[in-house]
Amino acid sequence: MTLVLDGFGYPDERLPSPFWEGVARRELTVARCESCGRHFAPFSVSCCYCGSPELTHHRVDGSGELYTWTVCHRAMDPMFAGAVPYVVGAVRLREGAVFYSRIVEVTVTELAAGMALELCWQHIDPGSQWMWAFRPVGDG
Amino acid sequence: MTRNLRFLGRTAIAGVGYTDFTRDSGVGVLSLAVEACRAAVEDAGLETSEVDGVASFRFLEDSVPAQAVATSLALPDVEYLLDVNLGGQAPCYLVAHAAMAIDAGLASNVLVFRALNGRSGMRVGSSQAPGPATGMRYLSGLSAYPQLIAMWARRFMIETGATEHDLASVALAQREWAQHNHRAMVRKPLTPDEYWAAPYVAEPFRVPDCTVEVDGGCAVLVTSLDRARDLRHPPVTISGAAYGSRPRPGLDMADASLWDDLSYNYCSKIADDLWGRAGIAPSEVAFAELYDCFSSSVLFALEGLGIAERGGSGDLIRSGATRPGGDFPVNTHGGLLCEGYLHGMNTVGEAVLQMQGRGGPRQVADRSSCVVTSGALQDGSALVLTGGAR
Repeated sequence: MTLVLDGFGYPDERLPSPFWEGVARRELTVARCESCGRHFAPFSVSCCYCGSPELTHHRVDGSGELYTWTVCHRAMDPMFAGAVPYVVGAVRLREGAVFYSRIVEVTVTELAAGMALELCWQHIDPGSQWMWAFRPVGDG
Repeated sequence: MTRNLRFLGRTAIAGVGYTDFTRDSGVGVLSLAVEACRAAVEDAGLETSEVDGVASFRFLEDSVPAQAVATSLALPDVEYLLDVNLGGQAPCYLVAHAAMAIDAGLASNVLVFRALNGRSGMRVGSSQAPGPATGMRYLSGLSAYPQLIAMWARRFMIETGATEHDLASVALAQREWAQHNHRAMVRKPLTPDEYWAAPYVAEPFRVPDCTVEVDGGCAVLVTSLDRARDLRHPPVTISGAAYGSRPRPGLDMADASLWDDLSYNYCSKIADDLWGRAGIAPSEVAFAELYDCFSSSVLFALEGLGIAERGGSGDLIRSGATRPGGDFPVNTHGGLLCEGYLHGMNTVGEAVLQMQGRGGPRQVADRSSCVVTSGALQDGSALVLTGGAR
């Protein structure tokens, strides 16, 4: 897991964080501000809406809707060379946070703003860490 | 805030310099930076020894610090050096900063440059800005700018009714301009059929919707309006300037996950300040040089700045107004789409050439005023330039 994450985060940031440890357990969390009640991602040092440092990791149930998306026809990173064309979207979670995610088990012509999505889990490569993904609700 | 800023109307751009634009420069970035800066000083008609300031921007470590250029130019009197870790949002911002420094008396003649081996060296489009959001994006397959900005473009299409035909109109109009620009990396004519046949990179962007990575350098020389009046070319007066972001610009340059509405970028945020400070209305500006790493950012800028109504930018372009011979020229060098991705420093450079009447075969007729933008995402900057002939 640390191998995949190596190079991300600010230079002095220690990864994996509670967020990524949750991902390894197939638990998706967002930041919840205990002061204003807003949810957002990624987790940070204070609330991006009110500035309060009172943040907790809140596990989400994984329901959301598609806000926007792109169909990637070229893999800019070799890690995704075998995946093209693949869909990435911005998913607005029920709690309010927006999550960038692979959108899977979907055909390109189905994609539409507001499409109901649910959380699922996949491996980027066989043997790699779990990554979140979203798929249309009711797809098995 | 909209208020009178002292440096506006009192400072100017006096010259512009370029290196060749290539796919493989064969030299280091410092060579490109120094060559572009020397060219800008010479173009202005100044002696290098009169330059006392240098400002530049770089993304991660893709360029050299201002001090290296000051050293290599053997500047005898260094009063102002500025390096910022920014991308395409920087050029207009840095020109404004240099103008402020000059008007405040900190410096007299300041070079603003961008140089990089953007094709043969470090390719910014796929480099990783550090930050907590980066891993979330990259491991989701969002590893490069075309993909990120495609998501802005898609939301813009959802909100405004824009279609891929509007994106096509940008690429087609700008390719017409590029045919008159010897510097443009992509000059061959583009037909609608060729546009539609081009493969997608990241939907809705096809290859012609994307900028071309390039090795090169571009610099402008900023000075006081009084000094510029004595120099070689007509002064290009800096009459309006603005930089800004709506709340939550994100945890790194590409992190738009906290942005409320991806159908608006910085342009709509800074528009009132920009026009208010310049004292002209968007309907009055003669032409525009709009940052265009991807075709959609031209639509965002035209609508965000109030030049076109919301949802109306595609119609404006299809009317022919923005093309060669039209009455509102836009991206007269072919834009970054065709000339190459000098991160918008060359967008400022083209504005200067046009304002000074040095546009050659692509010279606009009315050069009384120009709006220039820098950036495509959460934060960005813009200038209004005046002083050219009508």
